[in-house]
Amino acid sequence: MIKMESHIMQIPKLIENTVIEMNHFHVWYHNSHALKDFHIRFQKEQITCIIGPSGSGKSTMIRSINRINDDVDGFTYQGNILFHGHMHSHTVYQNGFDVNHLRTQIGMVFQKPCVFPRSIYENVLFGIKHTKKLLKQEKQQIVEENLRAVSLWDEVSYRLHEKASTLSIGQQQRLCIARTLAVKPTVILLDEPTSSLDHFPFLPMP
Amino acid sequence: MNRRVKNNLFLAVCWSAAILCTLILSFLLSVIILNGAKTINPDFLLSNSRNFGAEGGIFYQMIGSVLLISGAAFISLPIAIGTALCKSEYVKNPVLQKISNMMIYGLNGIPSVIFGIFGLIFFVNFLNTGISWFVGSIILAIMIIPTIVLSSYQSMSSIPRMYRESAYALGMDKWKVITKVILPQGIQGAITGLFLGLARAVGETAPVMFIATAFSGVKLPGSLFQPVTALPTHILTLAQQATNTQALQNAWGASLVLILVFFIFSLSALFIRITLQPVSQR
Repeated sequence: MIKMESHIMQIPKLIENTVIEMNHFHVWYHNSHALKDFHIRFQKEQITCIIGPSGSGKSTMIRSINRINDDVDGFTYQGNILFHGHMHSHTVYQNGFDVNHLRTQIGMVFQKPCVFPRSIYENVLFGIKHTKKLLKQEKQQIVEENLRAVSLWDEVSYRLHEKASTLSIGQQQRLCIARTLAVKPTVILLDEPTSSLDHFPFLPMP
Repeated sequence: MNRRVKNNLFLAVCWSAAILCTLILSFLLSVIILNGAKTINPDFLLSNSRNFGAEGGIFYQMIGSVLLISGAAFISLPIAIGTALCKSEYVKNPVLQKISNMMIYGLNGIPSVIFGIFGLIFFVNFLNTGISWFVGSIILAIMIIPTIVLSSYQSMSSIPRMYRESAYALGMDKWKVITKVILPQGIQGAITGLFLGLARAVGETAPVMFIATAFSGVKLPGSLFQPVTALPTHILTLAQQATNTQALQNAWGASLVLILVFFIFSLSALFIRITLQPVSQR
């Protein structure tokens, strides 16, 4: 009886510092069982690294958190994922849940940079512009702030209106990070964003 | 027979097939150009036809053809883009995909005279529209929809998945992803398909001859529900008067104009394919 009580006492403390938790989470792609009974708690304002051999389900795991896997052919899951936002906690896989809003709070950067066929300026605003109304002044400010955050500002400030595809691969990846930061997410999921870049680890990140 | 001989033999067969193919086209083209060029002059292009086409020009026939295919373009483009979007973004079920593909290819394979008969029975007789260029546009639109759907679908479904995922990961909803990511990159396929379809539609005789065109004596239509005259049906009329050398001469001229219109559309399609190629495919 006493044991039980102490157990109950611990839970609020843990939740207080947890931003995402996965409980008994399974993923299948058609018949292949990609993620088996996975438990994890991600702490707030911390960097958590997941390391494992290729094909071990790292990507599947983080792609399940912002539900970007939903459209993958043959995707099925079991278990639940909780996201503790500013005000409320949500079960991510819930009928009628606003996935688009979730994705503004949980941003993601992919393995390969993927810039849209527009200008550098437009690319930084690509996400935030469609979720929020912005004044021209605010736009300028958001672009500068986020390009500075990824140390790209000095390299591109004089050619913001050129096509983003004219940037080098490394610059494109930093642009993708700036684009994600612009939405001001609570959590950023990074799916090996440095794997195809060699000079990238030296990038000073805030 | 050793390997080298076999190789050369095969090469020779391939070459002769290719040469035969191009020879047929060049023969056809040169006959039409040689015969038609004599007829074409500003007067022929800009004047009204007289005496059932044996005299005068083909001005209203050209206007009629342009009206027919512009109508077809306006009707078919939105429907075809909608179908292609539905196929590439919404239909995930492979069985449904197969069924829809079968339907689209089936529609593409229907002989054009059947469309003409359908238009005659359904629009002209059942809906009582009378012979009207607008009905002709509708029928031509139905005919070219498969070409546009397949071409748009191809360019939409070839957009790498990471473009969609990157957009979704920024919190954009499906409508935004479609309008800001899929359509700008897929529109090239749609326009290419449209021009290829129009190139085919402009030369079609059978679907329009019962329902949209009068053989002669018609100028500009005053409303949607009046007939026009069109190049292919005009050529048919002229060819039927084969004993009249003047009529035959005008038929050659009209044929050349039709071929030129066809080439303009095909080349535009090619040009659009090259210049509007989406960044993801360069």
